[in-house]
Amino acid sequence: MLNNNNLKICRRLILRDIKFHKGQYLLSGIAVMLVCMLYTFTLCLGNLTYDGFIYSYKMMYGSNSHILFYDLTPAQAVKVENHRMVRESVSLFTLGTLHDEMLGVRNVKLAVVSPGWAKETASVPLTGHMPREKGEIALDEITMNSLAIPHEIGTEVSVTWTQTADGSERTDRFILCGFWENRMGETETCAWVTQETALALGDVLDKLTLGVMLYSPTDPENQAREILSDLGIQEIRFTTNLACNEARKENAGERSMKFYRLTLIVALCGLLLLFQMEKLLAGQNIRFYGLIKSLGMTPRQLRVLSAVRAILLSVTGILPGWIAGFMICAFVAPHVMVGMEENPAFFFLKIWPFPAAAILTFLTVFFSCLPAIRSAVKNTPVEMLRYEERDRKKRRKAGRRRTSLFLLALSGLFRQKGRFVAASVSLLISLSILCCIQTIAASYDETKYLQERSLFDYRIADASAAASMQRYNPKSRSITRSMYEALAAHPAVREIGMVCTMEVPMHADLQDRAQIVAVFEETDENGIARKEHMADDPDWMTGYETMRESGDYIGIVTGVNGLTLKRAVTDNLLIEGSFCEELFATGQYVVAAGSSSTLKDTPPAGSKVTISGREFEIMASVPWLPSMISGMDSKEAQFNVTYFMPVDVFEELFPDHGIRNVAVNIDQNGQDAFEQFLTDLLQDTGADVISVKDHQWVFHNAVFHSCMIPFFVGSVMLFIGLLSFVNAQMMGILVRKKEFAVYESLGMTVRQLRRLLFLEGVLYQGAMFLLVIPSVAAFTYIAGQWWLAHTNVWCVTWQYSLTPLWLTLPLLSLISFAVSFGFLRSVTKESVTERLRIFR
Amino acid sequence: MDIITICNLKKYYGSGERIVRALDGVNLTVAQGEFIAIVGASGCGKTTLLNMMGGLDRPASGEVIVDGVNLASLKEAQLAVFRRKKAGFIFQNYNLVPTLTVEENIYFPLDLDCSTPDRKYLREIIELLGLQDKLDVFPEQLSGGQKQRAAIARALAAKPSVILADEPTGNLDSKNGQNVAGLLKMTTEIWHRTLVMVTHNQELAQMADRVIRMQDGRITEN
Repeated sequence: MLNNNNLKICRRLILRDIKFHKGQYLLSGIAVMLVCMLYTFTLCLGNLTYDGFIYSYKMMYGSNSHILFYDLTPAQAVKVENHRMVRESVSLFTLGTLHDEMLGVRNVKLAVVSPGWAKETASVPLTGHMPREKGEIALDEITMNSLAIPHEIGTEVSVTWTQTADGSERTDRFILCGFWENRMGETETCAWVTQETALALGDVLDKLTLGVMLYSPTDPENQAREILSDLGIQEIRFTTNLACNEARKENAGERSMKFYRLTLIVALCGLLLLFQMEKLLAGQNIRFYGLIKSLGMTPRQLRVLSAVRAILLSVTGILPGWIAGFMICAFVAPHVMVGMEENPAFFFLKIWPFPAAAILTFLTVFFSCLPAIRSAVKNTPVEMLRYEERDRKKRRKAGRRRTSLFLLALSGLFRQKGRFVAASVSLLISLSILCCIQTIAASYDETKYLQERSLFDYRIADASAAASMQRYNPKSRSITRSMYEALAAHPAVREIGMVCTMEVPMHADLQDRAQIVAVFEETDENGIARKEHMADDPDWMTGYETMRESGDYIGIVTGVNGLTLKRAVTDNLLIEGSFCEELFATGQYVVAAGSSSTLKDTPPAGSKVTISGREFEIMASVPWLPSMISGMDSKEAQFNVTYFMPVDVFEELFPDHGIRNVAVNIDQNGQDAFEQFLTDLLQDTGADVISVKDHQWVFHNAVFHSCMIPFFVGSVMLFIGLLSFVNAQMMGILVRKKEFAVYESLGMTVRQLRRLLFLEGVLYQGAMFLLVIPSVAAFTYIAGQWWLAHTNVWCVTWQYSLTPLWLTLPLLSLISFAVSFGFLRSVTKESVTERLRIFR
Repeated sequence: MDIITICNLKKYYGSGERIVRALDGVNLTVAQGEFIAIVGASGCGKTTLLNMMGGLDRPASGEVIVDGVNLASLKEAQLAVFRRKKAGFIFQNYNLVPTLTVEENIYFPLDLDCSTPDRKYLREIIELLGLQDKLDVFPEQLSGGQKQRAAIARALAAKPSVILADEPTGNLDSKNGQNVAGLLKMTTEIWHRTLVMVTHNQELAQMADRVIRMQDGRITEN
């Protein structure tokens, strides 16, 4: 007889409750939406960060295949293809590898056209077509730029390559039939020729490379070994996709983990917000639970009631939360994964973050409802029905004193201390976060950054030195003298200069090299020899040791004029000697630049150097400005000394040189016209332009990237705080409907009531300001100073900023008074008698 | 036959010097069909005693046996079902569920355990209490007297063993109070229910078969 539970009644009660308290549920729905939005945002961002890194590793590796097996015979390849672990495969006949020092670290295979492989590695020509005729070749754009091949179909291409079969080197001529922009294969790609061409080149096509996709890409190294061992061909060479590498996966996982960790903060914020909401309604809810419990509702029914309420609240907030969270993610994603054409949020879109966000939201809502339901289950109906009375008894401690509006307001504030603390916590946390982030963001010094990184309004780079990993090819002619002159003649151009470079073997005598050696052998403030800082660059170490022992080194002779001369020498800091422009122009002097910005790591000023058989005197030495020149030099020149000379002298010495960079400063009024002119001028040349705007973009993006997440979390918490504040104020008035009626019944006028609320508002805000301002100011200062002491960012200048606090406080005052007076009208609408009868 | 038996019932609030003895060794029996009124000054423990009879509160010690069920032996869920089926409450402030209509409020104890309602019986109660025109309205649209009549109907709906009324006319004017009290007495007589009523009103108490007077948590006159 005593165990009957009807659960349908719970649904009816909740639906009715929603119907009767639309405003409260709307606020709760907004809160749930915010929570779901935050979960969706962090989970989507974490997912796309992980996938983005894995994708970038695939791009580097140049293939989607999990394993690449090299030098297989066709029979071996068939066996591998049929192995139980292999899901699918693509094959490639490789003739050999392109051999040209200008390719730097890139590995370009000369291979027979394989449509499957080309598709798998995104190396299908977008301009022109795949080779169809004997003697045709298709190449990627980075290779073409490095080898100074013009972007023109039909161009005759001379390619030096090493044959796989016998390791011999040969040079052959082909006709360019197609090329493609590199979306994959920054380090590894193919140069396509037909099978007929391959046979004509003497290859018997008996060795191939096989790319395989595994059923399970976990630990591909071991799987590759197992496949080879099963087939008895352990000697076969293989590589595994970087994207399957456990260490790289771990790295991607770590990077995404910082976003996943945010879900904990989100859970905390969400619980805080929803707890606050529940706390504000606690008295009302507990009395309601007490009532239905007194009528015979069982603990199980009460628990179901709470769960149904949590589900309904979650359902209302989840869909808008998903949409809002994903939209914010789509806005933020391009700043997190820079350099993708597509929006990474859409490109890496997965379904799992959405149900995960929904489940987490439901759990957050459910846990926030738990204390109320636990109290409902634990307490007797009488305790619950008397909830408010009990609360009042606790407060009746003070002795008899004369009552004034101020004292009434003060007691009102003390009575609402729970609500006050609840609303203050969010505001305190959010404003502390926001002020810290504001201080950090303001401390990033754009001027300092641009002074260091952007020496010119525009820097145009030769196609062979467009990317930082490309080695500059002096034979490249993507920037011609006529283009330079056309640029110089443009009306918007204020200043212009060029940079031409040539690597030249040089020799330093004992006296000259002593100055350089002294710098690198000397220990720094940490007691480490300076050269040890370069220990992870073996090419630099080799170059340095060669110079130290024999005096032979690579000098990078650099022709500068106009603007580039001004930046590199005239306006630059002099480490040694003095600079005279007239003497420099005579062509008998050079200016040396070492790697350090303060130390004398060049031959001394006044010493002589011989460049291409001509003797020059070193007039001065200056620090090297890395952002002056694009691309990289040969590995032999990793240790070098740069010698600046006038461009005309450089041309006399090296008449067959190209222009590596052109630097331009313009009149800002003609910016649009100039940029259009530049686009037309450089069309199809492969030359790259970096403007000061690009550097500004990089700076702003970096600042945005480092501050975005905490700023977003802080903003949402602030919104939550404001919502709680409004809610606390609103509920503080609504639940006192009866109390106000009592005051009125005792003779208080509406004007006095209004004054009471005004005083309460002033006291409430005063208390909040007293709590928030010093706490936030102190926290921001301490946290900001700590950040400044520990950051490794070089372009910072301390800027203490409490702007979010100063913006929020007036807003709080405004909201406080607006809510007080707005709701006072609504609660005094009914007659005093009607309000005195209120139960709930 | 006794429907309620109370033995040495104690309920204390607080501790030490500030201890409040709301019930201090109460013994009482109520026969089936009897109408008793509990009277006494404010704070003498009469509402606490009523709450103990209805399983709304737990005693510090002692026994409450209602219709053969010892309330001390019941778990929380069983106690809830006891309140639903064996006890019908009528509160001074009505305690109608504000989000349910009058009809839903009356059916609420039955809905809680999916019992099939005795429609004839319920129609008779509703007609007797004059609520037939108010079934679809919400409590806030009713007058005080109408609310209390709805509360009486709800208390009777599950055919409980005892009706427990705590100051049922406390919020009503004297005319309405008399009407409600009359209806309460009449309905319990018609359906032969036991009625325990807490009241301050001597006139109302005189309507009872027996009057119990309480003082400082003890029964002083029975």
